[in-house]
Amino acid sequence: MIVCVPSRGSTVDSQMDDRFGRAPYFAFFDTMNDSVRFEANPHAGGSGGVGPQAVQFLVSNNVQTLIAPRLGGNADEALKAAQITVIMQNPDVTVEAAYSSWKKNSENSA
Amino acid sequence: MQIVIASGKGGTGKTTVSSNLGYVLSHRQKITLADCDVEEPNLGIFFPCTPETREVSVTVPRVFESQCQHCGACGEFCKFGALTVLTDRVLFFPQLCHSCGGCFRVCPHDALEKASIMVGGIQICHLSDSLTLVTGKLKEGDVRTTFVIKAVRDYVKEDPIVIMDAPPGTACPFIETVDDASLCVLVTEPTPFGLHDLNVAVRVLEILGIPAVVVINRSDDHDEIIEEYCGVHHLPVLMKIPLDMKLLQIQNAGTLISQADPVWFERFSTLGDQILAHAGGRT
Repeated sequence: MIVCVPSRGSTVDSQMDDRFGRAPYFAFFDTMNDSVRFEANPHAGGSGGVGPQAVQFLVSNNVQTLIAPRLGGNADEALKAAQITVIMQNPDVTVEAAYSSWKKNSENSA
Repeated sequence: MQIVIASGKGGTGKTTVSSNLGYVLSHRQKITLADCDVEEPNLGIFFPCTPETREVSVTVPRVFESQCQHCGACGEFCKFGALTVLTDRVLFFPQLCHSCGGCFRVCPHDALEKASIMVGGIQICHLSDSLTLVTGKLKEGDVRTTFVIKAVRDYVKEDPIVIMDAPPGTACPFIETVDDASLCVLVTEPTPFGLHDLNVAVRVLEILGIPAVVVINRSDDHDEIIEEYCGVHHLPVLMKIPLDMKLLQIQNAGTLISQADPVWFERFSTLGDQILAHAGGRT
């Protein structure tokens, strides 16, 4: 499964971004082997409607779970329609910490 | 001929100038007042009437899911995020759509049809034989301001003299309003904020090639901050309206100062002459 975390930078020790649609990078973690790759968000500087555009970007990258701090209404609607699970997370952590803490929780509850 | 009353900064007195100017000039010629501040139109306060109303609609896409291959072309094209293509369906966000029509062109499967949604309306009031008020009104919650302004402009485009009350600021709604203007009257106030936004408006008008003149409102006779700027930029200052409690009281009662006071009728009449001369159409 691919898990996405919006990120300020392109490394795992980057801080998680407190925005979704305008985050400069997205971290895509693969739960199979905990590998990660970063993609620049092509819509970060868009004039508007960046939330749904970011969701489309996540869909094309096969994301099933998004760890995010807060979402706009349009992004929320698009994520629901795309059946991407949203996990709320305070953004004052690194992307790696956000992913690890999500993974620990999901393993505990499984 | 279209004369736009604008300001850059909000609350400087655009409506004061446009309402009085329209009222006074209509005593000698046919005038159309057009309220292009469609987010908060307020010319109607001075001219109460029962308007004739017309809807303003825009074209948006509607997806034929049976025809759609979810190829993503429309979602890729839409810079406003109005179309989100998922693996099994397309989401459309009408509030994000700018009605550019691009999605219809890029869809390779004829899976989009044209639908229409209402974004506002225009209200038409024939106030007298020589004065008509046309007011644009954006639907609450909508953001497609320029389409409603365009509808106002289309309605008044054949009228001989149109005085347009512009929206504040210098962004898209202002630019849509001044598009066909022969002259722009910038109403400002003698404050640093007034000067700053006057300068922004002047620079926009320079790029658009539209001549400008200035009216100073809330003048306290120490208007050097504006006068110096106008001198440097060769902008004629055609009128000063003093900061006067009596004038404010007349206006706050919903009355035009030119209606209540013959002196102001005369002043706006002179202003009208000057404006028409600057706009190129002598009376």
